[in-house]
Amino acid sequence: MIRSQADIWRYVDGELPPADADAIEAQAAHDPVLQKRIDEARLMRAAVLEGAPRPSNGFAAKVAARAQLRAAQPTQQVLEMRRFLRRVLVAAAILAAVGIAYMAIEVVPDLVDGLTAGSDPLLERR
Amino acid sequence: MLPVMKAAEAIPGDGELVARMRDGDPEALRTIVERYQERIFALIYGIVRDRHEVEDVAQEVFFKVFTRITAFDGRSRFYTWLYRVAANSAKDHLKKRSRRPSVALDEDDGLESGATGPADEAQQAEARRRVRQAIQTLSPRYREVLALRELEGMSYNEIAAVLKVSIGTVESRLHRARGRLKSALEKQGD
Repeated sequence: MIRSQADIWRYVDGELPPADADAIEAQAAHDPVLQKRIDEARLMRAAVLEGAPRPSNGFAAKVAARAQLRAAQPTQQVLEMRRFLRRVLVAAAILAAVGIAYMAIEVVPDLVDGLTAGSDPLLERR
Repeated sequence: MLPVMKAAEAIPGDGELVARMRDGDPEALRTIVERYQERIFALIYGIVRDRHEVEDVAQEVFFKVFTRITAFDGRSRFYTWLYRVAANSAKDHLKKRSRRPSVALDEDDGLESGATGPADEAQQAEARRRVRQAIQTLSPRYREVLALRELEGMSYNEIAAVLKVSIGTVESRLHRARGRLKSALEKQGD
């Protein structure tokens, strides 16, 4: 029986049902071509597996320290709240400035006029 | 019975650690890193294929997990989400690297050449070296599926969950990846 390459991979990956895997093993025992294909597949797996580096000793501590720094920083929510408050303060300051300017231009001269007008009778008596 | 319960209590599960990370606990992240670092290093290496870049990418992955833990909705297992973050970060890293001037990869650093062993062992080592070289020619999506399968030992089902694709897609990508490796090897052998 000729096995497809997909079957061989499923076998090497352990994804074949046990009965099918047993059948491939039994066939490979008498079929050098099939055995060679299985060996090639295993060789390819071994090659992919080779060479992965291991984490350095302090790696976990390094990552945790970086997270600690981040945790100590204000969260995004706090930053947004601060930004909002800053905008409210700026708006309030602008409103106050406009109010003061209005007072200076419109209200204060009237008051002065009123005061001046109020003093007229006194001036007249003199 | 009691000591067993105590031992179980002493090792927090992923769910508990996720909850603590949501509260901003860096020690919970540390436990997660210690638990998954080797597998994440292997996965990143499988995609990036440069030993010198793996640690930087891994650090970014775990930091991202900590800062974006609210994005984990708990519908999948935590490690599935973690592997997805790692695979995507490794692919993003490859994209960034491809925009930079090319640097020769030295992935065989520190690996045994096998030349000192018996003849067939040396031959096998040479074949494995050629496979590793051939992996460099694969596109990131094929490296990713190979890494999840070979390095992480994941089943087709688990790979499908990580990549959010069907099992059929996983199988066909794996098949194509291995087919390309084989033809790359044959070309090298010519």
